[in-house]
Amino acid sequence: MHRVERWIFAPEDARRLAGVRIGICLLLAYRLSAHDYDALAARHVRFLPHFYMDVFAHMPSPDLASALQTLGIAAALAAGLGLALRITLPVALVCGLILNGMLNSTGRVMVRDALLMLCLAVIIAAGRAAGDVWAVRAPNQMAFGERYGWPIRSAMIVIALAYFFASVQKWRYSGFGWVTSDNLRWILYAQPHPNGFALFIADRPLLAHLFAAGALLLETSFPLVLFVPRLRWLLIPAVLTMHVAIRIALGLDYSAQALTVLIVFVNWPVVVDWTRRTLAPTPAPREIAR
Amino acid sequence: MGAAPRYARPFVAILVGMVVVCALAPLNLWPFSNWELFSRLRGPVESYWEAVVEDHGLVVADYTIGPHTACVPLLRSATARFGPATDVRIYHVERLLSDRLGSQAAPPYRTLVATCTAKGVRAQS
Repeated sequence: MHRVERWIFAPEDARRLAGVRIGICLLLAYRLSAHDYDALAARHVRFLPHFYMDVFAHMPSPDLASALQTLGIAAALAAGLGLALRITLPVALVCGLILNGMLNSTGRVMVRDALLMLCLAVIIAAGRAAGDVWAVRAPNQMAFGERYGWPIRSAMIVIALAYFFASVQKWRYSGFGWVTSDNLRWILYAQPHPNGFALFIADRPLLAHLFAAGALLLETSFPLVLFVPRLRWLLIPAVLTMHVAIRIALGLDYSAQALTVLIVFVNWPVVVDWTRRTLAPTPAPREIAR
Repeated sequence: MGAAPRYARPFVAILVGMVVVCALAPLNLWPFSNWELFSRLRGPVESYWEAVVEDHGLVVADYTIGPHTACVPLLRSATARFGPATDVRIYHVERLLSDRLGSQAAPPYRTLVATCTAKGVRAQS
């Protein structure tokens, strides 16, 4: 247990947490702008409140939805810039929760933005540490410490558990049958208009079994990214590929989840330093000689 | 300088605890999901119930309904929308998912279950 605690609370570069803050906030701003919430509010007379949406007696009005959308996007962008984080981050979270709650209260609960919202909650919990560097009003200095590490590793644990439990539920309800039966073929065929890629897999039972086995193996083994950093080079691209394949074959958009994984697991200071080194003009041989 | 805040440890414990409890219970307290998406096995047959609204023998609308939808409210809503001369037929629809005509799904098998008219319900034997 002490080893786990030491790992979670190990010191980290402040720029890494700032990178995650910027990425998560930009992604939230994009996600909030991608839906027409006021049209949804106007269209759906049937309001099936999910969980916290019980506080609303009916679907929020189109005007309220539009206001929340504008406020949420503005707050997320301001938080991305590192402005007034104690206000902008919670405002962005509340707007995101209500707008996603509207989508979830139409009869079907969407998983896709859940990890994004959980990681945003972690950034809020990080407090001022999230805006110590790479922020408009922050001194552009190097910082390193415990306070920058635990939010990132908490987000990593949540993401790893999400994929792991997705596999646990498959083992729990379906067992090996999830791979050995024609389950994936039926999922692909059951769409109203399956495309060529979906039918290519569904028409080939062996290929469908391979895809199912690959997905289940990937989800089950995903927590290894926490313990074996080298495996991130294999498992993170594999998960991104799985989400792209799901998007093409089933038309399900998990881009928010895939991008959240990328934002949290990429070591942003290393990327920035490498980019700077690569883009910096190479000194001429004569200058080196001097 | 650089130490984690005092609330960090309880926060991490509650966050991770919520993720674990919601998955194992299972509870769907969004954004704490139960991660059950596509976890249950699908069968080779897709089965659902369909209401077909007819006006003087012509189909004016068809839509999916629940398995235990009663005739009276179904007819009432159809009459309100399409006029008094409407009948509603309830079908049980079954589709063998592997049954295909090229890239298109083959037409499903439809069994008439009941006909709802202003005069009453006619169940099919």
